Amino acid sequence: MLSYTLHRIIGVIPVILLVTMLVFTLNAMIPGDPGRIRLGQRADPNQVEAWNFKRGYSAPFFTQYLRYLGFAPARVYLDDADHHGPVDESIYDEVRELRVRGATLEEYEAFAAQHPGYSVDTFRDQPLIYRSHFQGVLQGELGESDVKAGKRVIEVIGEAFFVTLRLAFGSIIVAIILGVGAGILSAVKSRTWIDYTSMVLAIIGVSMPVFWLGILMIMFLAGPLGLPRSGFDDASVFGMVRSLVLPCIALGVISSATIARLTRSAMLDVLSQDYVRTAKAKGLLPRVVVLRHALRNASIPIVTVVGNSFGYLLVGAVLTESVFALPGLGRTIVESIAGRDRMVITGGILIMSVIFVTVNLLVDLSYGIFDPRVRHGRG
Amino acid sequence: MAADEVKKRKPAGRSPTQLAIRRLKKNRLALVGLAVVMVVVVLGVLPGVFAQHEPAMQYQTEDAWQVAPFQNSSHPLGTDELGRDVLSRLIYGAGISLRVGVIGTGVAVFIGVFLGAIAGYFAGVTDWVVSRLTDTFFAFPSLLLAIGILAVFEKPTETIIFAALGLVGWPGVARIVRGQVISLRGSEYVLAAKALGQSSQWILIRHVLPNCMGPIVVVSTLMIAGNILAEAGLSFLGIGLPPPSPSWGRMLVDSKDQWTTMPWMGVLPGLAISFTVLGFNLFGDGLRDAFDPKMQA
Repeated sequence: MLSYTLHRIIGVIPVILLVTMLVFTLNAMIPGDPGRIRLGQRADPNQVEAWNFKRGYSAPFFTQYLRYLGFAPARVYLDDADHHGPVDESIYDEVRELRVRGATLEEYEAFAAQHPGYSVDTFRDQPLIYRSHFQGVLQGELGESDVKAGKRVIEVIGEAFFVTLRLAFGSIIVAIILGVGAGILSAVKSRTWIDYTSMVLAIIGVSMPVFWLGILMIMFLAGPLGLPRSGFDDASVFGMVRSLVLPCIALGVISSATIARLTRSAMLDVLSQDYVRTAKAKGLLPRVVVLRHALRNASIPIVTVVGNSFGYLLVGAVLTESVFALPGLGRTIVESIAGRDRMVITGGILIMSVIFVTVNLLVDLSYGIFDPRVRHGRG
Repeated sequence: MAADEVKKRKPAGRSPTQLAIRRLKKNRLALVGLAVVMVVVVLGVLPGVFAQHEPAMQYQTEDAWQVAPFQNSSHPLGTDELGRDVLSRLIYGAGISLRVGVIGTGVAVFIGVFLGAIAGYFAGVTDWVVSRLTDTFFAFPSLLLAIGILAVFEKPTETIIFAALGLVGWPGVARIVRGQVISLRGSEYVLAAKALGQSSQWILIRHVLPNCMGPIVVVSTLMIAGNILAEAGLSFLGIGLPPPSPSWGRMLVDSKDQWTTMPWMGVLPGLAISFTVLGFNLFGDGLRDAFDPKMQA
């Protein structure tokens, strides 16, 4: 089991590396000059060039990629004509703090007075590059937003990530309860109206776009139930729950369809086994047979299905966030595409893929917990 | 059955494909799916015959800019937020969905069959490289990769969407084909072909791939459904075909602010998407059950 676990974990590493390469290649192909996008159409070409240089965009593609990963050092600049060379991390943090809170000119002047050698303009306008040496993806650093001044990609994505996480968590609970429940019921009551109804509903669920279910819920359910139509209220726990109810149900119901179909076939497979017949013949309660003999043995395919649905759930979350105007990861990525914020696009897609790969890995590794045959098998 | 009746039949019997088609014909849900697919195909291929209006034409009636469904015989399903005929747009939208679904799947199947076949047949380093590539593409939640690819283009055309969906979809096909080819590689008839001195390409194309057709057809049909959903999703996110394209997903998102005042705009395009995808899914499920009775759910 240990060697299997290690083998699987090590096998993920080249995949993640290839993912970063693919994502970064797409990043480099995004049209538009990043400096132009940041500084505006009428900016001085020299300034644009200088901005691109400082951000590392004028470096050859492969150098950019190595820097992004954190294999190559990225120089720190916080400079103007008077000052060149690396600066303290501490100054960087303070300057960024000033910018984020939108400090007044007086505050900048006071700050510049404390730091001889820099001009006020440096602190106010120059791009901030915080990567000192070897800070990239490998060190958990995704770069700085191209569009939002002084914001790190991690910060932009971080806030959104927790919104998506709550949505995904709520939806997967809805999906498991509905999907596994309907699947087991269908299998146990196989070829009855319960089975047919739930399977017809399931194939409709598989065919329905999640965003359309969302639209229907906004149109027909939000009003009568007194729930918000869209937006995210994180001022209070109650407000947050209220704004997540409809999105979680929409995404959960759609995800439950696949889970129900596959749970049903996994359960039917197990229910036809000899040991189930033996258990029934022993006179055990049907409930005991289903839960202890059948479900336990059908758990591997069910866990696989639930784990794999998590991937569709992430995709569905992008669409759900868009319908319900939730400030999640998917919506952040889509908005960054419109705003041409390539570092946020790259970072967002990378993070989502890493989550996806990790969940799939955990699903694989969880087989051992659910099935002693795997645990004591090879390795 | 009488003995002489059995004798009268040709001993060759039915091919597995004929048997599969027989099973398919008995599956009522699959036939319903096929009927839906046929309707969409006819509408999608010949939209001009069925649509009364041009999809981008804006109409203003005397009393209102927008017409609700069933109010005006000239606009049976009403007009949209810009006064365009909804039914005509839905019909033209069928063409987009169909093309994206079918051609996008075609690209995926082409890449997937090619890579899967060489990985399965030649094994060794080729297999390792192709398998890692497959794993990498599998590491992305599918739509997300398509979003990433489309982010590169400012105004995607249909061709770009075909390519993006093809690039996203091929790993699934490659895995299935690779598995099939590996299981067929050691079969007697492949050995016999090798003994006759036939080349690898010939054996692959003539003997191995035709025997993988069943699973390929099944996975393609279901992938068409997935691609239609994906195109609708991409358009809904605003990164699919640019306006005034009558893509169903775009019809939904463009009427976003009018869902409460024009509920039909929030319902009809979604109904069209679900109906079409349901057709392909029912037919695909039927095909799967017909080609592989063991997999019957």
